[in-house]
Amino acid sequence: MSWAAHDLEPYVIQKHLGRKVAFMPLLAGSYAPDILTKWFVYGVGFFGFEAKASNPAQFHRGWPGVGFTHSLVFGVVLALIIYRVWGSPVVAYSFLIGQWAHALTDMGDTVGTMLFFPFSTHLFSIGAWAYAGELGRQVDAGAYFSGLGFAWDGVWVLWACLSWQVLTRDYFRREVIVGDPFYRWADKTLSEPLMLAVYRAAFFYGVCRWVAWTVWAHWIAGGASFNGKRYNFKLDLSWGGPHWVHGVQASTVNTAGCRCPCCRAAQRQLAAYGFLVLCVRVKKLRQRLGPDAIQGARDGASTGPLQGRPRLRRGSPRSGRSRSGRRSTPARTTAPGDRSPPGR
Amino acid sequence: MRTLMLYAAAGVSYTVLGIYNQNFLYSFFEGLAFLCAFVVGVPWVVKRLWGGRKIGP
Repeated sequence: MSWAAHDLEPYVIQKHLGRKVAFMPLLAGSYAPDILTKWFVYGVGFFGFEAKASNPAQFHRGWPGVGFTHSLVFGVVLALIIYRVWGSPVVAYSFLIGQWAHALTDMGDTVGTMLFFPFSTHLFSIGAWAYAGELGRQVDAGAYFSGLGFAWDGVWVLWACLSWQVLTRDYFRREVIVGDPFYRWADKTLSEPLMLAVYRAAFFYGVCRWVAWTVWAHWIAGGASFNGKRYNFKLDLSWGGPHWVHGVQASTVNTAGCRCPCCRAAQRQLAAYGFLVLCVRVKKLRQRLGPDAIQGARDGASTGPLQGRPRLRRGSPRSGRSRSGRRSTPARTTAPGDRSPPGR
Repeated sequence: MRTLMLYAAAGVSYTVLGIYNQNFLYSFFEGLAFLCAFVVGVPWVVKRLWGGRKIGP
């Protein structure tokens, strides 16, 4: 997981793509994989009752679990739904870019992400820093800001600061409002200082969070306890570190397949859906080629390439079939005033 | 420059608040609420208070 990268990536992407993307969907896409699930990883207490995943890494990144939120297909599905509802391709692909950026960034830890779910539950992981979500929020933060995750977020903080032009009022007026339907809509009701505050909030939050957690981990607390065990936040920038914490590895997630009938049936259903999609594609391909083309190919194969009929594509003038699939009328060869049937 | 100083002050305040109690750093929405309150809400309140008061004779 990344602590500040998801807040800062949209500004860097915005800097490079300008009006080609809409900022608010980009930010929503960047937050989408974690926004409804992260609280259950660390647990939340209310009225003396605590809700927490029994296996946070499995829940957060695995299957069974909500690991599918970190897959590329999940982004495509949500983008298609957004496109269907909103009708704007810019909004849809901006969201998709944000979600893919999140999924790819989270590959950096030792658990990784199921990028190609539902086709595969393999976790793609670089393993640069330890995943310690199961040890609670404070120890996880201490581990993250003691390992290479701290440096990784530092890169994004620096990159976002170098893209400071995107935070200016002129840029906001010139590029963001023009490219983003949300801000165009908000421009009718909200004041500009408020819109600018909303626009800059993720940058503000990402940078402040990176500084605050680093200061807290290394200068204020220096360590934290979880389930009676004390963890001292010693800086360890080695690969896969910090090694004072037992980071969950990708090989230990998804090892126990769920034996429930629902999950076992899901695999067969996915195979059936895949076969159905393949059949539909083949059928469409045959329709695209058309009976003339297939017959021509058969004749060409039986009589030789010089004697066979030429291969006619749908929509070509000689095929007699328009691109819409309807049989077209022959072209008139006579003058418009001539009442005689064409071609006679 | 005045706006930049306001944002810088908001950043320092929020960072200190986050170090003091990490629950203020919980999610983006806490940061959004704090920033909006600091750079929009506080100037609005100050303007309202100072607007009704006459300074000098």
